Amino acid sequence: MPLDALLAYTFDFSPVWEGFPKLLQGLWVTIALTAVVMLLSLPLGLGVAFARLTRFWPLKAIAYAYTELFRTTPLLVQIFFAFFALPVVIGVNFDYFTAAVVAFTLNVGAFLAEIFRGSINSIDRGQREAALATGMNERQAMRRVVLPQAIRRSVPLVAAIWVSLFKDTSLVSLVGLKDLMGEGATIYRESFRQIEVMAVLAIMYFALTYPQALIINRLFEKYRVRE
Amino acid sequence: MDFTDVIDNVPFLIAGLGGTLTLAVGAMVVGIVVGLLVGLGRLSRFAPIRLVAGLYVDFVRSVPLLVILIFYVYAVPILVDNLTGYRLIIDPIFAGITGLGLYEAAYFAEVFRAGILAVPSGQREAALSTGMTSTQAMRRVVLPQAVRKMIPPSASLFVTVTKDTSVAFAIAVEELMAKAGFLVNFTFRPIEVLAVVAVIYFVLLYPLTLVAQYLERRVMRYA
Repeated sequence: MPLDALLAYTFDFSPVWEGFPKLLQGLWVTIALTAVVMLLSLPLGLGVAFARLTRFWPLKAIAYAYTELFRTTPLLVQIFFAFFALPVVIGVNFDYFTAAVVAFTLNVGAFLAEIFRGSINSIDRGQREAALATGMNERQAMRRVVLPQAIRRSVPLVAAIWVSLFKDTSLVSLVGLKDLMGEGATIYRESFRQIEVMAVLAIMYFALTYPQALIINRLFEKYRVRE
Repeated sequence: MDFTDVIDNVPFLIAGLGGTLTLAVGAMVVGIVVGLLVGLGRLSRFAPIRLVAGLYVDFVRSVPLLVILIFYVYAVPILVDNLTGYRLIIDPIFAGITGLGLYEAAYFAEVFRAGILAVPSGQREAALSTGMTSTQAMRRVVLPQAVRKMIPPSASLFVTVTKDTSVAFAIAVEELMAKAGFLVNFTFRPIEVLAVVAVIYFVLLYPLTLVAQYLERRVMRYA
């Protein structure tokens, strides 16, 4: 009985198939945005993590304020700010894609900074002390002994942040950037086939995200801390 | 910079904050109840239940919240109409609470599952050997210990849920972000409006993150 009832609604997927090339264009924007933000957020996150670990307090305070501000306000507020307020603040008009890159890089950078800081702090103090005892200076001990172990430990966590990033990029459709979700929204606004469009979008996002989630599970296995 | 328009409209924004908090608390309740069921389902001995619960968690966690919410508000009324013939008009806030709640349930399910698995298996075996049934062992011995381990991740999940409520503005829920968008269009003061909104979220959530950190340290200490 439920199946019959479900079939009473006449599904019409033709607008989705007709618009499929558009969806693929949007998908390309989603992937490009994710990739650019991944690349830019890595050095930002690492730099901020170091800033939080220095003994120079003004730098430390600024880095702390940055990470806490971006981690405790909604991503959507940050996106709105980058799209509508930032061009006015700095007096430069940039395109939607650049605005999205700025918003996501700052957001993801804050989360990565916390991961890197946590990983560096989690390395046993004895490691650094042993490196210093062999005659290395602080910088050498960090670069040659502590950091390689910390990075290894942070790999699965960074990957998890990147997967959320891939999903979160869908929010840019709300401010007019035509990513996968944005193109989908255009199709359903014209055809009023919301269920069909959103079902196809959900399947596309799932097909792209789920393998990433499986990779993360393997990374967690591979880089599991054995102590 | 001119904050007068925004300051004049702070009561308007605070009204939106009420919507945000209603969503966050409501979605948290739905998320905990459904999440506990799904989490237990993933640990069930009955394979079909395990499979369905696993699919739910994997699917929901692999699709963006925005996609799920929009699908949910359009699909549910049509499905209800088809199944019962009843023309359902869902109130946006109700749709927001249930949609967001079902989404967060997948994340809660993982927290619950991890919490239950973190209790040493000897605890359950000891309970069974004293003559308790499997259900009794779970309810009287395993769950009470697991709950303590679930509290810190649940607290940080609450922070995430509260941030996620901003996405509900896409389905016409009158929460803080929707009010902010309206005020930006009305006053043409994006910098001031968004700055005030960011401050409101920060003031609300920063203490919560500190509480979550504190709880985490406490539980780690007695682990």
